[in-house]
This record gives sequence, C-alpha cells and structure tokens, in this order.
Amino acid sequence: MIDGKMKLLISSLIFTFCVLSKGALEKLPLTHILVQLPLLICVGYLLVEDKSQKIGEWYIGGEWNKGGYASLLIAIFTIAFWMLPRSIDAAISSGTMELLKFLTVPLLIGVPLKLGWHRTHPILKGFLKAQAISMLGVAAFIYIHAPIRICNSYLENAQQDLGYGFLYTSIALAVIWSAPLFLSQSAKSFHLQILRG
Amino acid sequence: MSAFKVNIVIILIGSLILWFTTDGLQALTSEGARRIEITKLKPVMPNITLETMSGAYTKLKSENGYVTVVDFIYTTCPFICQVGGDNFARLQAEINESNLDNKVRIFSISFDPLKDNIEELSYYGKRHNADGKVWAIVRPKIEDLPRLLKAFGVVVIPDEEGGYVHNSAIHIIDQQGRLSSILDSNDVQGAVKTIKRTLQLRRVRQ
Repeated sequence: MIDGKMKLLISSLIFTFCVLSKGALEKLPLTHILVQLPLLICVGYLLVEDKSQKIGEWYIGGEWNKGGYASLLIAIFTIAFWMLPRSIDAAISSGTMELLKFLTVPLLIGVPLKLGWHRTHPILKGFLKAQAISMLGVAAFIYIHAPIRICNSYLENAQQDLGYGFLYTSIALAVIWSAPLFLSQSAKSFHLQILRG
Repeated sequence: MSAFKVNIVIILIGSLILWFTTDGLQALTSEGARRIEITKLKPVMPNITLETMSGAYTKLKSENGYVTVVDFIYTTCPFICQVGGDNFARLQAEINESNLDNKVRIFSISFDPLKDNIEELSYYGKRHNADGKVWAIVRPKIEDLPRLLKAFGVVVIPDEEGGYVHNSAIHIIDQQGRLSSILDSNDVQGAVKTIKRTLQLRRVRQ
C-alpha cells in the first residue's frame, strides 16, 4: 500500500504538473475539461487521509459528515459550478477565476469526495455512478450537436471533440463500474443465490 | 452542528452561488452573460474613428442622434459573415421600407483592418448591396481594435484555416452611444423592433 507521505508527494507532483502544463492543456477544451480537471480532483483526493485524521481538535470526518452527505453535496455543487461553460470561459480570460479553479477543484471536489465516498451508502453510490454516466451522455449529445458555440474561447470543432470525449468517458465509466459485477466471486455467488431462489 | 443542519446550509449556499453565477439561471454561457449584462448596464462604447468603404471617415457615435447597428466581420470570411451580410442586407431593406433611413445607420466593422483594405471593404459592400448611406462597411484603426472588441465583448480567435472564429451578433447602439441590446445575427425582425423601440424612447423623453 502507498502510505500517506507517498500520497502527499504524488499529489504535489500532479499539482505541479497541472500548473506547468496549464497553457498546453487549456489550449483545447478536451484536455482542459477531461485531463486537467480530473487531475486536479486527484490532487485533492490524495491530499487527505480517511476518517481518523485530525486538524487541531477537529476530526475532519466527524458528526457533520454523517453518511458522507455533506461532503458529497459540496463536491456536487462545485462540479455543477465548473460544468458551466461560462465558468470555463472565465477561467481562461480572468486570472482570479483561474486561481479559483486551481483551488476549488482540488479542495472542494477532490477532498470532499475522499472524505465522503467511503461512508456513502452503497445504493447512493450506485445512484451517483448512474447519474455521472447519464450526465456525461447528455453533455456528449449537447456538445456534439449544439448549433451554437458554447465557449467563446474555443472553436466549434474543438467543442465537438469534447462532446466525443464525454461520450467515450461515459462508456468507459459504464464498463469500469459494471465489470466487477460480472467478474467478482461475490457477484457470482449472489447471482447463484438468486437463481436458487 | 448536526449533519442535517450542515447539509441544509451547504444546499442553500451552493444554490445561491449557482443562482448568482448564472444570473438567475438565465445565462449558462459567457455569450448569454454578455447579453444580459449589456441590457442591464448599457455601457457607453468608445467613440472611435472608422474608415468607410468609400474612404471617408466617420465616428462610431452618431452626431445626429441616429441609432447605430453594428456587427463584426472580416471580409474574407467564408461562412458566418457572408450569412451575416445577407441578414444585414435584409435589415437595410427593412429600414428603407419603414422610412427610418434618416434615423438609423448600419456599420459592418472589420476586425481585420490590416487585410481588409478599402478595396476589400467595398467589394464586400457591393456583394451584399450595402448602399453606403444607411449601411457602410468600415474598419477601425488597428490601435483602436483591442478596446473596441473589449467594449463590445467580442472574442476573436484564429481558426485552423487561416480565418477567424468570433461571436457574431447584431449590436444596437442608442442615440447616446450606449450599447443597449444584442440580438442573434439572424434576428432581423427583432432588430427592427428594437430599433423602433429605441427611437420611441428618445421621442418620449423629449
């Protein structure tokens, strides 16, 4: 297993990479949205440890985050904010928004996902995964077929590339998340149990 | 604080932030935001000098209290600007038919003044029947271009075929030189209506 210090190192390496590759990754919406933002989420995800970590006297995974709802909500609202095309446009045209992106994507998406995901009820997890897959599918459709330019900073065919990027990500997530159900031993025995009634 | 209260607070704050960043769920794109902001603020546009397709000079703000209609073009544009040109030809005809030709001016402003010389401008004008009286194809001085585009909120980026991509729209400047509305570039009827309303506002105030 990778220990805490190692994770911190990887996290800061990824963050440094994101800062250095800023210009290159933000040239195209595809790499901006589907490479830089997920990497920044990873930065936050690797930054904190599970439940037992303390900041001063305060447990970061305390009562306030029972069931993981609070941290998931923070992550979902922040994701919603950065899904707005005008937020992405603003991150390119304004330095303040760029800074805000580099801070909020790790700290308000990555960190809360880490704190909340492991205490989330399995049914809610499944629901959120299904949401993510279908939302990416809808976004793919919109970005491929939109008759207008959605971001003023990007070209229309780059916007379509992003749409296909969403589509492939959606398919990949569907496969990755459903494959274990067919492969794992417990799933097999579960199916057998159902068959046996 | 209990988890329940924390969740409610997060939902409230999150919803408020999303509400304000989308202008009350009206503008998800920066183009939408630009249009809403302009109808609210009606910013004064820089009164720069423009060179017309006949080689004369004029100002963006009318000295005779005309309403000014503006779109941004580059004459070598293969697609959007040519369609925009047809829309503006229709707009010019509508203005003449409604006898507004002594109250309204139309400018197609080139954002590529280096390539678009007088010949290119007048060729574009001829191709779309710009009469030079109501509708003129014009270009700014190169040093005025950045603040002009910035004031209008027009973003121009080079595409892969040596041309440009830009947010095209019909911009309407009122008699005081303020940008008062932005419409889709094919919404000629809407533009005529807005022009008439803008002219009426002035009359009522007098």
